[in-house]
Amino acid sequence: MAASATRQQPIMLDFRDGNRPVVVAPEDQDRFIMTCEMAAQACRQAMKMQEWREQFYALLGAVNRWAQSNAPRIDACYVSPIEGGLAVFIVPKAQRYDFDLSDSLTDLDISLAADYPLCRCDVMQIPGADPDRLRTFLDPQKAILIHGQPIRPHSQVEAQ
Amino acid sequence: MGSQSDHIAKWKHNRSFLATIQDGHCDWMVTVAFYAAVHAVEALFAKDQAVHEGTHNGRNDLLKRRPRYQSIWRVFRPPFEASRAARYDCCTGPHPTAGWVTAEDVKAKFIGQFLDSVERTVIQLLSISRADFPPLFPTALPHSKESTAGEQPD
Repeated sequence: MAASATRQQPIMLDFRDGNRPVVVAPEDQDRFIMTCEMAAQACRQAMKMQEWREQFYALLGAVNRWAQSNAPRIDACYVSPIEGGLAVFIVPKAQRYDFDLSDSLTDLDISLAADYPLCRCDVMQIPGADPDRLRTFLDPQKAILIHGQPIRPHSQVEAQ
Repeated sequence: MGSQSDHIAKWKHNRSFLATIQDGHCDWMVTVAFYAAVHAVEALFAKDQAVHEGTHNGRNDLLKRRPRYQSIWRVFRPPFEASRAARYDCCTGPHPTAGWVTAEDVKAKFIGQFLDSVERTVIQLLSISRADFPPLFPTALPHSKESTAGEQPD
């Protein structure tokens, strides 16, 4: 299969073809038509998405390594979508703003920006020992827990 | 985006308000301190013709990625995160931040150290007079050369 694919001529999508129609035939035969320019843009976007995804997973690894090496000082660490990008939220063990953690967080923040430029991300420490308070900063359904205990669902909290 | 002088005027405006905020509203103290820092760096961006998309993300990105601004980012980031926590946190009780930061923290660290350092660096890079930016609280460190965030080459 792979060998025959390499022998085939490539399909050329040229931005300069502008409004020339492209017919796309998905597996379910639900065909649709778009312009050459739109198809080329969609392909470029897909390539960027792939690159973004690779950087995102690498970023999660870097944040995890930071969290492991700072485990004695932090209660929890989350990566969460926020308006305009991502946030790494750190809940310090101190249960108050931890000034001693600040430089290390800035180093992490700068290294993430340098190493994973497609994943715009801010690193922030937040109050989070109380789950209700934590929910004002992040949505547990959307956040990825990197370190610490999962937030209990509302229903479990209310049942107690 | 305003001009350099527009941002300097707003920076001074925020500082004068900051000096009037009582300890019981330290959540607003750290927020106004952050917005004073915002206008300080925006004045510098205006001078440098450094453009961003006009959001916190855009500004932060510019500060952390461009070597000239990275030392400013080191002292700008803590007030950014503390003010964000102060704005989003909806804890109740007699203390507006439930102990996350205290008025003493805000005055000594976020204003006396971080804002002071942002301001000193920006004042130096803009070549404007320090006399227009006196220390805000008695606990705040006086402007001294040692507390400058420092400049890095672009």
